[in-house]
Amino acid sequence: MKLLRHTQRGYLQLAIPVFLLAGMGMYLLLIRAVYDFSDENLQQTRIEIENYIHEHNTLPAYFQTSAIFMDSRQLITACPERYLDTLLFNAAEGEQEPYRRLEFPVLLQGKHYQVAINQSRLEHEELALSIGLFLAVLFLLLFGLLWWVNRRVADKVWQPFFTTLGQLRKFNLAENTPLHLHDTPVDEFRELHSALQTLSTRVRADFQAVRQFTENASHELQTPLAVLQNEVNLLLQQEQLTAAQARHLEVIARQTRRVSRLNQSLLLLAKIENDQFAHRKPVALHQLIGQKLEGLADVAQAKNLTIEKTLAPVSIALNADLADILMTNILGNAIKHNVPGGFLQVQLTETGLLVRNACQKPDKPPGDLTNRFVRGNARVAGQGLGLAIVQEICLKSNFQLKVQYADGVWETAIYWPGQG
Amino acid sequence: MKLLLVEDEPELAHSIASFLEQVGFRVEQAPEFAQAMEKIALYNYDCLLVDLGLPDGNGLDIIRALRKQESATGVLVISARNAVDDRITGLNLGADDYLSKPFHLAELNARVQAILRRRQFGGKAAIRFAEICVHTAERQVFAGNQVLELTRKEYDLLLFFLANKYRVVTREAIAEHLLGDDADQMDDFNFIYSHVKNLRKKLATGGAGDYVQAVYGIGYKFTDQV
Repeated sequence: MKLLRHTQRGYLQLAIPVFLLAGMGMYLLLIRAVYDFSDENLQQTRIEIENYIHEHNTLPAYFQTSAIFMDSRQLITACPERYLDTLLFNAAEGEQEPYRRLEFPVLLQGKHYQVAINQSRLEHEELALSIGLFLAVLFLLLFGLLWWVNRRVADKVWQPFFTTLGQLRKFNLAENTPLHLHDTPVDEFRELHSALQTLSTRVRADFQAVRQFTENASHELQTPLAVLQNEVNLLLQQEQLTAAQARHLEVIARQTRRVSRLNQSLLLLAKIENDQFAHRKPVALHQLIGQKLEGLADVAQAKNLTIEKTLAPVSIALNADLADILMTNILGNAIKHNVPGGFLQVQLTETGLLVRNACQKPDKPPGDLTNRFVRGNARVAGQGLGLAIVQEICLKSNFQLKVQYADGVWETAIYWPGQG
Repeated sequence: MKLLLVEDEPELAHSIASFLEQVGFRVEQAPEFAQAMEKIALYNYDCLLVDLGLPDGNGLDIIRALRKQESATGVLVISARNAVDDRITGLNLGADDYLSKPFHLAELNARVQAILRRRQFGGKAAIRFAEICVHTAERQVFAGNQVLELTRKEYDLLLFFLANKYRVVTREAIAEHLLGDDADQMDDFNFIYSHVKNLRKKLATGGAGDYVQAVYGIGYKFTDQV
């Protein structure tokens, strides 16, 4: 739920009971005021009637103002003075109407009378009702207006927040551009910005350090390995070398080479993980695969493989280095793990790449082979990193990788999301 | 042929210099940036071998300085940073070739010779070995007067052997030379045997001697000495 909804919900939860209570209180007050007004009016009329009686020494035969009329009757004893609510028949309207009635005793020529004056409550109730309605509408209007203003203000106030969010989403360490946030007049956001700037600066510095470390590690490891390899090579040039010595040197050379490749593969994985291959551009995969198959044709021929390829012209946005490594690894694997006289099928379509090849049953389940240092076949030399690199590249490129083995056939499938 | 090797690792520099001297080059060394700048200002070299990551400077600046002198010296960049950007910058600055560490000495030697051929003879050099003659511009191979029809890979292999004549070249070095980066995937050198076999057959048909010696299952040596 959005923050605004949260605050507005809290606002509503408070406002509704408050408005209801206030409305009820106001209505009661209004009724009270109407009664007071009525009663005062009646009292005033009573004084006028009493004055009349005093002056004329008789009951007024008829007394009526716009809303008040009088009736009277003779009693044996004096009656108490009292106010009461009653229903009386209104001849003009032809129906019962609510009245406020004041009964008071009058002593005239030794006789007790009860005089009552009645005032219709209808008008006053209508007045109270319309005042109440008016207030209710006013409340609702005010409430709605506040809601709307709140929303507008919130939208405006939160605008910098969403701008910042957008910039954060676009922020990419590998692109090496510092995070630049727009200025905002809101203190809270300014604080947020300064915290984010500090954070991103530190993260970028760390990232640079890691990157530098990767490069340094590469440099530091490659040089001793290169020296080793060169020295062995120089030894191999010696004329007096015996066959046994040569074999020892060959083992040293091979293992040195192996460590060196391992080092390169691990560095490559680290670099992919660090998004150091972020730059993408359209890569014509059919051309790339064609070139790779041509380059590997020698090795395939030595194994007497039958190669079958159907390459639709497909270009997808990908890092050029990664595309190269991806194809080298997939096609290289398909040839390296192939059986003599086996087959290799490469099928490139708009939706993905499917590589099928003859293969001995792997020692491990196919799904495990995308893990690092898991080798599918102990009889085939390898580092166990080829598919791990493929997996990592697919992950970074949002490709879906599927590998499976069934009845002597290995299948590597890559699906990419629709371009467009 | 005089080369300048700019490499800060003394042992690596020593091994490279030893190999190139055995091949017949004169090799001078500059382990530091300042020294290298001084040497290129004072002397003329046929080819400069420069490591990009020097402790006191960037190898790219040496190439810049050299090209400012408008010298015809060839430049081979060697670097442990196998970064596409470095490669492109190096080549744009006027380097002739780029080799990433670790490399085979035979490969380095072949690259240096290719640079020298391009720089000094405009690529028109003829490489001779006994009765074999290779015209590199036309990519034609003669055995005596007879033209040999070699495939691209066989031609590359022959050139590689000739650049490293009398040297032992390992199967790995050959594989990398022929496959380039794709060789990283390959630990299977069977394809080399067939190329070597075919090359020997074609040389023999053309009337040339058999100069390819197998060396203890490590590799080959191209030689006319027994």
